Amino acid sequence: MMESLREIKDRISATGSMSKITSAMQMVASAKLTKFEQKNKDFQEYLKTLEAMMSKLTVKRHPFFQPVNNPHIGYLVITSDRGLAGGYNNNVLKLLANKERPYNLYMLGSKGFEYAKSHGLTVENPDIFVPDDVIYHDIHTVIDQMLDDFRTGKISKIVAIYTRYVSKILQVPTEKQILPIEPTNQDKSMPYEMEPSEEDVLYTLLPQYLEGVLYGAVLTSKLSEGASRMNSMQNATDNAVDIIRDLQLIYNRARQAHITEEINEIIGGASAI
Amino acid sequence: MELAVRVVTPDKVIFDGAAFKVVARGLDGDFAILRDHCSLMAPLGIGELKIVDAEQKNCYIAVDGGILEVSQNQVKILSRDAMLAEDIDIARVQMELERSQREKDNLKNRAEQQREDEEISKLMNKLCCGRHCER
Repeated sequence: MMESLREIKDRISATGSMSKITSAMQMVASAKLTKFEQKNKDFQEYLKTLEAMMSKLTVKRHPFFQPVNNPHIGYLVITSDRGLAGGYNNNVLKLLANKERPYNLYMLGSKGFEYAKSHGLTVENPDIFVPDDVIYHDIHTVIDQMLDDFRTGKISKIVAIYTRYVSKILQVPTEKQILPIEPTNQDKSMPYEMEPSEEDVLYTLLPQYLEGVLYGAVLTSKLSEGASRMNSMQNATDNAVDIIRDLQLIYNRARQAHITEEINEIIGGASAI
Repeated sequence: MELAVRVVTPDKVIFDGAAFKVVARGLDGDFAILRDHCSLMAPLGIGELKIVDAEQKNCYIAVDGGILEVSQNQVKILSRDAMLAEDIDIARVQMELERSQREKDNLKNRAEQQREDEEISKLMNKLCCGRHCER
């Protein structure tokens, strides 16, 4: 009896320290999330301005608008570098698992690389980490590589698989076709002078726009990762509290039983005399 | 009324304020925007952007290419990377420049060399721009 009391006590304290860790992680994740929300807001302005500019162009003659005849689709999968983020990585990778081969795979985040390794998939780009304070410069090599592969006809489409951030409690795994671009509505409100020519503007604007869209996917994924980690850590902490409460109950009962037994022994001993 | 100028990069808004004149480096050379300019869209080369305010004070920004839009006295500049001259750390840029030049000498591939050349011209641009503040 003594031993099992001690065991229960140990389990209570172990669960207690675990809950301290998970609640600390939750707080860190929520602080990061706030920072990311600000960053995303700044970026949305950049993207919106780009989109507005795109809609003002009338010429749409560019390889990026033309479909290519090639069965290979390029998938860009955005995952996180670290685990303990609930179903965040799994949900994204599940989308990828349903895809028909052959495809070309591009990965961001080391969880994706681990998945590719264990499933025997080849990833086109070298390992790239997505740090928490990701800036555009960190990821541009992958984006450049994908656009190059599209230009040379190695892949016929670029599809991004990522997690779209809706709110702190809702993040949706999404796929979005990036290339070829589907024509958008045209804003014909005011004629613009294009200097030196409309083609030049298009050739500058398009790559920048695409990079913007892809970077946007990375940012919204990062936001989702933060929110997902925050929620799963919150759940872990709640669970730990439940477990501690149950254990405490068992401990008290065991202790009471132990005391009763001792009293019985004393009384039994006394009446024997 | 003056021009309302905004310089935006993916990471943040670099400049947001009023100006009397904006001088930018286009593909065919420098051009200036004053108030009541017609609506314009123009790609920018690697170069410096000069924003002159009403008191004739200059603000310099190193721009790594991008696009400029003018519409109804609003000037918007979108760039992948832009830096205010006063934020440029000259010693660091110089170090990176030296490294890039060394790397370029080791490269055999033409395409890689071209990429490195572009990197070098961006760094040179930052250096030139940063020196405005030193003076």
